[in-house]
Amino acid sequence: MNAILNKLALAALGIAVLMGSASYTAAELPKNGLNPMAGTPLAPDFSLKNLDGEVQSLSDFRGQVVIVNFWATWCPPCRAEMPSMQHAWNKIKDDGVVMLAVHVGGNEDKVWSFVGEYALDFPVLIDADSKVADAWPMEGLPTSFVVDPKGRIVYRAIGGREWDDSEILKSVYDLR
Amino acid sequence: MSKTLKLPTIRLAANISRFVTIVVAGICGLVAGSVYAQDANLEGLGVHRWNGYGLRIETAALSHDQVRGFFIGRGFDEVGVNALIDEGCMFRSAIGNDATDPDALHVTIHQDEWRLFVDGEEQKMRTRADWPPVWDRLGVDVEQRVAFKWALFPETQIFAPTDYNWGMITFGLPPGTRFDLELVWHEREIKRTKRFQGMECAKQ
Repeated sequence: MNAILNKLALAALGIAVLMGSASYTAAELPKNGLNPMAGTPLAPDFSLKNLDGEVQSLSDFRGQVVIVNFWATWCPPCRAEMPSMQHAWNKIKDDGVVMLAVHVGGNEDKVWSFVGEYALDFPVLIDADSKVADAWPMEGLPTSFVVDPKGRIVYRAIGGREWDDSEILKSVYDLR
Repeated sequence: MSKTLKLPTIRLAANISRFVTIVVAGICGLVAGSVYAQDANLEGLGVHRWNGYGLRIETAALSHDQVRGFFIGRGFDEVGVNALIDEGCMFRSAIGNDATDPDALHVTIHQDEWRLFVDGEEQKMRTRADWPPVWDRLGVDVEQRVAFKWALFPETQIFAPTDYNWGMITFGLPPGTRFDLELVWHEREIKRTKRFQGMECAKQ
């Protein structure tokens, strides 16, 4: 029991370490800020397992707009933007827009718990060894990309966003 | 009659002009002041903040318990955690572009350009790229390396308006070391600097 409590305390402390920053709180998540991606490069394809163990590839969704979000359970701005991602997913999933949340790092148990706690039902993929994240034009978490139907990266957002904001969704819809 | 009317008119115009000059100068002073302002309580382990010339940064030292808690939670063992505590001088940080106008300038940081001064002597800071040899020496597994890499602030980052990152910074100094940090960033081609004085690595 003590061991479990110690683990919980350590986990809470771990998150608190990064949450300690007063700036850039969840309340401040930018409502705009899908920044154009210079050169609109072709998105590197990937094949990763989802939480059910099924392999999904980015190229499976060619012809659709895809939001690719790189995140981790321990990353505060990643956690902060998840509710808005779920709200956005509720709006876009029947409109030909795909959302893929790529968890960088292993530990599927923690990802499972997180997905349950936040009641997320968009696809979550596991990039255990970070090889996919390393291949994309990104340096930190969270970073999100919007890929157009031709497979090109059109927008990038470094840091969390309010994904259900109408301005962001309009930018996404305009790519269809 | 016209002379008596003109004189106050001229005085009024002069006063308005002087008022406008003072207001404009005051506003300029306030703007400059806000650009260079920083918290009064910046000594030691306090939070160091800066907001100006496109850059927004907030950083503070992590205690040894905070480092231990975070990295044991990521699967590190005591040996790896102790290396971070003894050699890391870890700070948490949030850094980004403070502009929301989509047409504002991009901001670029290269941590290689940042300069540390300990007792006036310049020292190189330790970045993401400096840690893999340490993990090789200590036999740290891939999963922990992945967690560490993404927890650390990247060496180079370009922030478009509204972009920001959270992450840890390692200065590579022993616990309790006091130092000054000269931040360097670029607003497009313009190089900017700002010195945080009296920073301190956690003693415990």
